[in-house]
Amino acid sequence: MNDSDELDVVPEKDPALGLRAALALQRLAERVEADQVGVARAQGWSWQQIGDALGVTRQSAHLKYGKDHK
Amino acid sequence: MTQSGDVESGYHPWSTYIAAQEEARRRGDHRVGTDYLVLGLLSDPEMERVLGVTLDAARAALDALDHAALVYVGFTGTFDPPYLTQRPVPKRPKVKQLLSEHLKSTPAAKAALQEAGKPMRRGQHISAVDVLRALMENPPPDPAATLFAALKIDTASLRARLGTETAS
Repeated sequence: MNDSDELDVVPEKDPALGLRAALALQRLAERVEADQVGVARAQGWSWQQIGDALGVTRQSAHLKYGKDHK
Repeated sequence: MTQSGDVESGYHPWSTYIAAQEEARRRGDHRVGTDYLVLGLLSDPEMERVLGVTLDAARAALDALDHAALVYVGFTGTFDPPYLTQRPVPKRPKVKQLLSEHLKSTPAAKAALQEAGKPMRRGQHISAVDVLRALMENPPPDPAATLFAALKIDTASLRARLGTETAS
């Protein structure tokens, strides 16, 4: 099958792909966080509550997201 | 930082950096890597012409690379949280703005910008093409090299072509 030809091209262990995946997961996590902070703000959460949920101070939560989510 | 630059040439690498930073932010990255510097260059239509690809195509290529990498480690679901909002890129950035909340660069991105910016220390102007040239120096797995490969950009021939076209 054609598929097997393509599979041959990718070595079984490819750290370039694997390391990229680790960063890609971080990017996804960051996007989920930003999106959910927006949801929380829209529901009236305070920066204190958001900070508590994320395990950071109120100030850090606000510093990071205050500009994008009023 | 803005002192001697900027006046006639109209190009300053900070503009590329700020555009790159917003591309990094959009995808949820903490650091501005060489791949984002390529995207930053592509925010200029003239550089889209030089590279023969659009900014949108380059963004899509990064997404495709990420997707392939995630599949490789077994993360196969369709999961696509929204991108972060990009902040507007000012025409004339204020130094204060640059320093207050910028994303750090990766070491390779920093090195490329320093290399491209060398003539500025002698009071000479540089162009976006100089930054591009510096970004074509590294082999994979440098993120810019990986992106060029994904976009089927032949950096060797592009470098040769730019060598003759540089005067601009």
